[in-house]
Amino acid sequence: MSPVLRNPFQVLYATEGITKADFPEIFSPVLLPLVRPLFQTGNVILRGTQGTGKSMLLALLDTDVRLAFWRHGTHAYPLEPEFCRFIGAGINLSNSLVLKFTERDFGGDSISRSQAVFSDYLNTWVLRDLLGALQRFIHDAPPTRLHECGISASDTNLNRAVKILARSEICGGLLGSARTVSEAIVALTKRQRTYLDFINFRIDEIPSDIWSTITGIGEPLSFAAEVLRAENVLSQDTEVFVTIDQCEELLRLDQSDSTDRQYAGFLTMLDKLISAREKAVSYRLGIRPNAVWKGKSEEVRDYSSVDLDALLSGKEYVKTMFPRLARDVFKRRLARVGIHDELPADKILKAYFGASPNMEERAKKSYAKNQPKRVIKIEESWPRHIGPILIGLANESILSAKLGEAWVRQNIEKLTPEELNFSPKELPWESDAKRWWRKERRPIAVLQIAASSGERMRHYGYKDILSLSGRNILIFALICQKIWESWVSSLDHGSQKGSQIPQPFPEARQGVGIQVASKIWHSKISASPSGDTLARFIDVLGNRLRIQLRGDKRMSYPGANGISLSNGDLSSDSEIEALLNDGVAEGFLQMFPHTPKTASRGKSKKWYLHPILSPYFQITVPHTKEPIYLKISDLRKWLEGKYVVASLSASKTRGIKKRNQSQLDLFDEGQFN
Amino acid sequence: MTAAYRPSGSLEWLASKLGSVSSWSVIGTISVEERSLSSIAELKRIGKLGVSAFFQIEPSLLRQPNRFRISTISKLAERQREALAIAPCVDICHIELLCRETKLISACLQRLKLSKQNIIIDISSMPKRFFFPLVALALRSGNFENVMVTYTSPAKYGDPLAEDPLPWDALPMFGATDLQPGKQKLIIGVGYQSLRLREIVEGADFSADNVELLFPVATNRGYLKNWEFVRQVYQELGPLPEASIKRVSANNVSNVFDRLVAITNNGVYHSVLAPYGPKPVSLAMCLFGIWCQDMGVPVKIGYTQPQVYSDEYSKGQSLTPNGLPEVHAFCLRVEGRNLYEA
Repeated sequence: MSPVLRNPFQVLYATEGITKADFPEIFSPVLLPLVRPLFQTGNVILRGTQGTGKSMLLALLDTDVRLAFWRHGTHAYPLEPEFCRFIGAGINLSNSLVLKFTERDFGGDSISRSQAVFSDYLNTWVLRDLLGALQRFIHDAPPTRLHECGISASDTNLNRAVKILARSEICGGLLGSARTVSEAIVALTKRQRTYLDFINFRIDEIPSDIWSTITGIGEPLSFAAEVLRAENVLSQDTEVFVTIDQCEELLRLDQSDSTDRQYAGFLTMLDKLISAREKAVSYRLGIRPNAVWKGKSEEVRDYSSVDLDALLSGKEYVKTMFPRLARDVFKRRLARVGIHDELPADKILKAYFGASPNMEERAKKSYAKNQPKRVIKIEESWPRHIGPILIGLANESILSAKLGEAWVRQNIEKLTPEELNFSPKELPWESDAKRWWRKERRPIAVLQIAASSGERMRHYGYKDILSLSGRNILIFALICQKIWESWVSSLDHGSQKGSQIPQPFPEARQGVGIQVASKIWHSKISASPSGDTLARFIDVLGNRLRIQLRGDKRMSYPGANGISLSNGDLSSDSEIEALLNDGVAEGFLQMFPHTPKTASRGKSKKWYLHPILSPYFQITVPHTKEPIYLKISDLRKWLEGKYVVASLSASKTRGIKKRNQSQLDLFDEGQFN
Repeated sequence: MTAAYRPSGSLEWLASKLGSVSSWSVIGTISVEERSLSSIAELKRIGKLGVSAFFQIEPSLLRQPNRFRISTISKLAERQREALAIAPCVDICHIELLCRETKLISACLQRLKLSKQNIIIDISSMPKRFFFPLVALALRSGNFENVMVTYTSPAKYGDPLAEDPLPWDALPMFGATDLQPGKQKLIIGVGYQSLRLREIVEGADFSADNVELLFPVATNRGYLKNWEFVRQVYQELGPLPEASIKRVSANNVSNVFDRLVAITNNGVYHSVLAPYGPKPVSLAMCLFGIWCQDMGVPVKIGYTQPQVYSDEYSKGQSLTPNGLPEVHAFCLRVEGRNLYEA
């Protein structure tokens, strides 16, 4: 296939579908200056919606990814040398099956025994990963690189450290009589397999030799880090970073705790891990946005937070962060299929996607039928001169005519006939005093023009693409993928016509690509956890907002593409709160703090559908003016009969039960013993 | 490994070939589907129905709202009456779909304990979460002389089939953690339900080169949905090599099992299996998983378990030209000899 026809965005996920060896080509370092805490001493909780690049950043701590960078001829490891002095190890809570311990019965004191097993399994897994990483580094990494990382290239030192660990009280049970790192890994693997046999019901009980040597959470890891430094395997300033991936899954499961399965017990152990005072090991925990890390640990004292959504939104540091990331990702993806564009980074998106239309152009393109009476509705009760003026104006500027209709509707009862007696040359809504009024209402006017014309709103150009991506690099890649696909499918088969990539891609191809991307993102809702219910919830919201925006002929609520709820009201309904949180975490909703017009409403939050869903639901993208102020009971009424929420009484009972359980589990002193 | 002869065919025919067996114990499911009782009805007709034990899988109480719940409960009660009319002496285990694995395994062991030495497991309406461990436990037990699995296709599937899938997770008894990077195959049974591929490949070193799709043929039904499923895989992993689509019979367990052994080069490749395809293909994956475990080869079989099944999952049952239910039977063990082993 011609390189230009190969879709550079065919594989969407940078961490999946692309092998570690190819990772250096695709990794974008743009966010690195803002996520330095990840590569420095101290525990870090990394928050981020799906698609914000969390996995990509954590992959930099992975030993095989570092080795891949070192082997790569073109792309150097993207961290500066002073941030390279670490060794990484980790566990994925889902893939490791550690959460499966909740599926088994431990008899009497089941919770504390399952917590003990969870801790020991995590220790075993991570220690094996750590020793394996050191072994691979010593054998596969260039000595100069090891020196930079503060890691000894000597097998002897490592084996000496292993012997000390094996003789110790803390690690002895895990390592048995190991004398070399290979023997240590074999011993840890054997212990892991015994646990796996228990998880897979091949044995009925955990053997007594494991119970008698069970380790407390993090203890063997801290001790191992100290011994590795003492034996010069690691230099004194080389950090041990342990990534605990998929913590978000544990936090999600915690919501569904029952008397049988108590995931909160495992969260307590992780909380204990990061609130421990010793600092030999630093932990990195990935969690979803909005999740409250409950327990004894405290931000600043015990961990720092890195919030990727906040960083990309520009609320912290740099407003242009997402566009910079998108440009860099775009350029790297092109290079990967052999398209080395020499355009400066800040020009590349504009070159390939062109400028987005202004509102006037957008309105014209959505008004294809050229039938003013279909779009501009004149009431019989209005003064006679208004109709001809608006209809005449529609031929010139359909946007101005539509705004004029709304202005008349807003003022028809307020103004005198004289005040309403305007001429085509002095249109009140086009006055300078009304410039903000106009600006706020242009998007809703375009939406109403498109709806009346039976057309879709048009989206194309690099600004539209960035805005529809909603700070989500995965969605940006999806839009690019679909535009590319749409362009390739438009080429004549076998002709050379399409051998040059157009700059920019034709508007129509972009429009089709964006529409398809929107539809695909919508279809992804049902594939998320409890996705069918979430999809119905999002559909109710999207359809309600569309009806509201289309039906608001006076354009009194141009910001009605979002909703606002007060925090107090929201916390009274855990079921709806969970749905909103799930929608945000999975990238289908966006949530922002909201300062309501009236102080009595109290602190509030507002939610919008993710911008990529706007083409699907045909609602406006910009967040102008005030969202719809709702009470939780109103929202619940919207959802009734749609199989989104249980009956009020059932949901309240369950919500209260969940909160009580969770608090007891997390703060019960006895469980820390 | 040479291909072994593993008898399969209609239940009536296969039972007649194992003429020394005068009665078969059955473990099945009382479900909303008509086909869930086809096997016992057929065994009764041919006079070989022995002890019957059923799982009556109830919708989870914790899972609310469930728009199918009320109708499901009433259909289950009706099906239970039908089951009792066919086999007056039955054991019925009421169990929640999403119960803890420890409870599920214990229920499976109890049903197996009730069964005599010749056993049929009817998987027609049994969720994978139940039949995978049940088949594994039956084959690990030395108590059974003959083990058969039966399956009846419905006349028509409903839409939707199920809702609210849980995240990708290993099926009970089929977890693995020691799959070697760069030495793994991801083998996906092509089906109808949406796949959460991102979760499956997360953390694993999969690329387009080591993904294989088992595409069911020999059925005209649902092929559009099957291709839509393939499109979803392409969407996320990129185009796969043409050879990665392996066309397999939707009803030939033995053949699919042999294909799996071949794809993994007799277990040289470790495998992650995603059984989204027709039940007989999933059964082959289950048997392959047991084979791998017996060989000491790491294998993981996972699924995104729906939390809610439709009360109209299917309608009717496919019939033979004689108007009888078309109950397929697959021998797994005959006269004490396991047919799917190394």
